[in-house]
Amino acid sequence: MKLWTILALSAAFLLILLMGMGEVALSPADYAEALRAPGSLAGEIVWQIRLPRNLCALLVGAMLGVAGAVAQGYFRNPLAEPGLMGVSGGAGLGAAVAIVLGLGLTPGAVEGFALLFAGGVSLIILAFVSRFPDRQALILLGVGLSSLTGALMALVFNLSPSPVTTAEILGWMMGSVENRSWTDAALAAGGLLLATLMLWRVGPGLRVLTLGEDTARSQGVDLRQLAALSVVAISVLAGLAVAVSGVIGFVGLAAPHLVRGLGVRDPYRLIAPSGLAGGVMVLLADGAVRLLPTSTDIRLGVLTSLIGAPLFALLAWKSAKEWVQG
Amino acid sequence: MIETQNIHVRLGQTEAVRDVTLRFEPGRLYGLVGPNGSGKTTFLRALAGLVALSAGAVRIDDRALSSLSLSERSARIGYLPQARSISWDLTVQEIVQLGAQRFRDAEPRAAAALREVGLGDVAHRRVFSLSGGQTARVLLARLLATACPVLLLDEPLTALDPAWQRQVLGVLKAAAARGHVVIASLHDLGLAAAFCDDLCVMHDGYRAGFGRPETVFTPSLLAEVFHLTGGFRQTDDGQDLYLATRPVSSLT
Repeated sequence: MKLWTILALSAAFLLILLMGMGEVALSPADYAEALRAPGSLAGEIVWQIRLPRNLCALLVGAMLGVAGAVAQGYFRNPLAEPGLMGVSGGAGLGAAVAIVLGLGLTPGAVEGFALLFAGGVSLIILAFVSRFPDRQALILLGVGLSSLTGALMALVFNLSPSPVTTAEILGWMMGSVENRSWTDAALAAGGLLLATLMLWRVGPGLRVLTLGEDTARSQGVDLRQLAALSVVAISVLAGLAVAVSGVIGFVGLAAPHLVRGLGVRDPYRLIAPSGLAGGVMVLLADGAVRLLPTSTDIRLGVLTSLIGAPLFALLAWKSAKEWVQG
Repeated sequence: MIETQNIHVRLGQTEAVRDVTLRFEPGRLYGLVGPNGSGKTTFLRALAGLVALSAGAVRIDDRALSSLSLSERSARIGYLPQARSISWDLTVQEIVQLGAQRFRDAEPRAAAALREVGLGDVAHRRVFSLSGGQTARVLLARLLATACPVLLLDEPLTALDPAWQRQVLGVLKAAAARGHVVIASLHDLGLAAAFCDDLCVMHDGYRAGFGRPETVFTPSLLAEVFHLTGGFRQTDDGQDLYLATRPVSSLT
């Protein structure tokens, strides 16, 4: 069976499995009722709570997985991840500003602010790339922008009007797909579709880039276009992922590695399975969050980071060993 | 046919290529030689359209290179860079197929190129499992698979053992015999003299000599450009000429 078939079936299986998990236990009769009458209590739980949440988990994971695969392919670095360029930091800052302004409960406000700030950071990156289509320079810019958004985030905490607001920002930053709506799912699906269209053009270029920029250019790859489309795709995906679910760490780093570990090394062919792998990972993590017997809910982003951070350290260790031996 | 007309290339404050006019014909293997920093790589990159000219023009088949689209260029000029960087552990076949990606029959073309460099039996191996010399040959096969009329190679013999250096020059000579323009920068003057139809000597960004090896490698050029003394000698059987040199400094 092909890898992407296995991943797609796993995602579908988890999606169905997680439809059966929640605070309210539903019987088969309740599900039948939900199908027959979507406006019933069971229907509300299935269609308005569980399905949007699970779809958001799948789509956010897919966005992070795809963004991670493109980032690693473009930067030609296995340690690259969607947050590298500072767009995720920008989205986080936007959400924090919305909460501080008292818009935390206004529908769509946190997402809107997150997207607005992510868009702002993306525009800075795009302006930079159009002048200097160089990935090393881009990494430096990303480090600078991440530090800046981090500092501004600290300032937001510093100026936060009350501990309640601070706690609200912190809660949001820890990442979750709980209580997400169809609007969130539609945002995520739209972003994924848009990025897919862009990556259709970028993919073959990423493959040739495996042999370096001179070889890629000599084989007809427009490096400026490749840089611009890659950056926009990563920005759209990373920004939207944070806007929809808060910060969910390490999925973007780990999903492409998982697929590479299963035998796919071609950076173009890696993109779609990485999306599926990312979806599977976030669905699994969201399932685990619901199952963990803790008195306070463990947030999704906390769990993915707890699993992902040691993985990142392991990767760094392996890479360092290769560099020393190489 | 590819030619340069009074090209200049400036890299920062340095003029790396100065006023070079040359014409390269199909069916010939050209050796580009010169000391380190003499402008060989920049000249090859200028021919490939990878670096901007500060003056002059590169023309291919009587069309200005700058007027061609990226895909038109990539169908005419194949380039093997000096840096042998491979980011991901693809299979040998996948790497070579990258060269032939504009063709429908990329797979058999890649397989044929691999056989030409003696690596037909490792097509399905991961490239990171190969030795440095084998990797260099895989990248050469990628270039051959482009089937471009003009093939530019920056130090293609790096990392190869002496036997394979000769084999690869033989492969390049065969490509030239099939009608390609083949231009390779080389450091081994003896091999360059033995295999190349014509040599282009670069010195401080200028063209210091161009033509058949016996006419280019004069004692004065060898001394001035390479700080070598020597010249062509006859082989023991009297059939061939070979270049014998040693550093000027060892005489003093």
